[in-house]
Amino acid sequence: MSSSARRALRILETVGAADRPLGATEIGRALGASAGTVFRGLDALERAGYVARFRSAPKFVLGKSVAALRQNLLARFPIRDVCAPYLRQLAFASGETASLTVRLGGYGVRIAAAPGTNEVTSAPPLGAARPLGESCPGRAILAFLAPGAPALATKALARELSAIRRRGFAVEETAFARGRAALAFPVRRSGHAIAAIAIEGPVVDLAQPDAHDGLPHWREIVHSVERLAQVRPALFAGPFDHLEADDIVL
Amino acid sequence: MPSVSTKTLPAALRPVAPAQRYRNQAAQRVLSVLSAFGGPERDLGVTELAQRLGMNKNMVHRALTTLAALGYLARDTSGTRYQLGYRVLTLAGDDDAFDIRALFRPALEELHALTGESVFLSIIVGRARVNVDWIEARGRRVSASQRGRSVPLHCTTMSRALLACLDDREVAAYLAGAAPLTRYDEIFPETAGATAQDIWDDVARVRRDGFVTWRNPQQYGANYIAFPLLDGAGRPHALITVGGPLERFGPERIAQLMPPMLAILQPLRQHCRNVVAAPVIIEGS
Repeated sequence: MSSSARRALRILETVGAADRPLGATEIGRALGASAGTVFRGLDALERAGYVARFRSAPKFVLGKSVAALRQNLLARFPIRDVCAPYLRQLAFASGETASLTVRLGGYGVRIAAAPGTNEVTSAPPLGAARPLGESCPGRAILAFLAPGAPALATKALARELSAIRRRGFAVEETAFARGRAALAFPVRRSGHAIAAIAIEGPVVDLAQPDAHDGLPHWREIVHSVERLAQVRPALFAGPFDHLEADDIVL
Repeated sequence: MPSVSTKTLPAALRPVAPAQRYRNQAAQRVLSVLSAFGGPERDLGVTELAQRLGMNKNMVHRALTTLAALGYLARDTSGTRYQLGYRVLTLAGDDDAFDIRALFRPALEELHALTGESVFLSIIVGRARVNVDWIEARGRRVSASQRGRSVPLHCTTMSRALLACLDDREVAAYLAGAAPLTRYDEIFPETAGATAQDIWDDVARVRRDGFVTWRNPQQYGANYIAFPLLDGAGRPHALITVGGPLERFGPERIAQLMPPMLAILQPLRQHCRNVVAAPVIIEGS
């Protein structure tokens, strides 16, 4: 069908994935589209409120219509509200941003975060979606998926997943603090992961992640969420549970 | 309309020529179909979309197919209607509702500046109160407990000020699950030996006054006042507590400070009324 509509939606994704306002030229380059195509797409998007000009400059950010749709969709993940107090407790106990990642097909999508109390925190935006094997929370989920889960690409990943199963959480060295690692716990129901809760700062020593004093407390917080998942499964249902995992392509 | 030379405008600000706008109609139609999903309905079908948007069913059907192919919409569980799709999640954004510390921090600072005493922010997590922020006074003061530690909702008056925000059924379910109530007496001597009736009395007091004051005999005469912050449905967002040594922060001083403290809290209370509090789930209820 209409390729002008498809192009407009691709432009929207490009603006949505950027971490700064984008100009038409940059968008055109990213999509390999002509300036005219990009102008027409931006014009349609701007009229409908999907993009807005950043400080009246010819650079674009996501508009109010997107915020309304996102809020509507996020409201259909009761797991966010249920986990909110636990994420806040974890963020305060660890000092670092605590986040919730849910599984969507072969991806992990970060859908909630409680900011840390440390002065320097860094975190990806909400909505960041990455293949399960490529992020720390994703690997925490992957390690505890039900049988029949996706085949593992590499031996290195398989080794890491068995380490995660043994340890009970996944770790990932942080780029800004060498030798230190962020970590992610699976949120399991009947033993199988449905989500992951991550502490996103360099809280543990990469060489001895089990040695941290805070671990028993952090684990206890995540176990509280798992107990709820067991007794109140409806609160952990998502709007895409009826879709086949393979049909979800991000 | 005054005519303006468009040549001098940056490219993206130039108006789109009418012929191009015509070609753009398909894009605009698709976007208006998507926008219809920003309303209160969880799912929509072809017929109602056509009626609502003044388009024929064929156009709506084509727009839905495009949006579903790119993940902006998905078929719902019935398989015949559409709901928002997973692509919408990945359009990045911030979520201020989660940052309650940022929301309450200015009020904590104002209360600390006003009273000179320690100020605490607490929330309910599961069956416990957890302090998630505080400002400590200097010199002789009321000090904070361990970071993020859980205190059962019936232990300490500060916890009961949050327990009081739950409804009667939840309080009863909580108390039933917390039996024996004396289990934590050694850890929280302030409220040791309390019976269920004592706890219900405290709950009634908080609900009647909208705040609670108490003295902690264990802490060399620390004196406190706590204010629950509720949403429009009366559900708790958080509790703000001010505490100081009795000789500085006694009943008279608290009475004096009451109007300015309430003035600081008023805007927060107004804000909380418009935002739904996180659900409190008492297991077993």
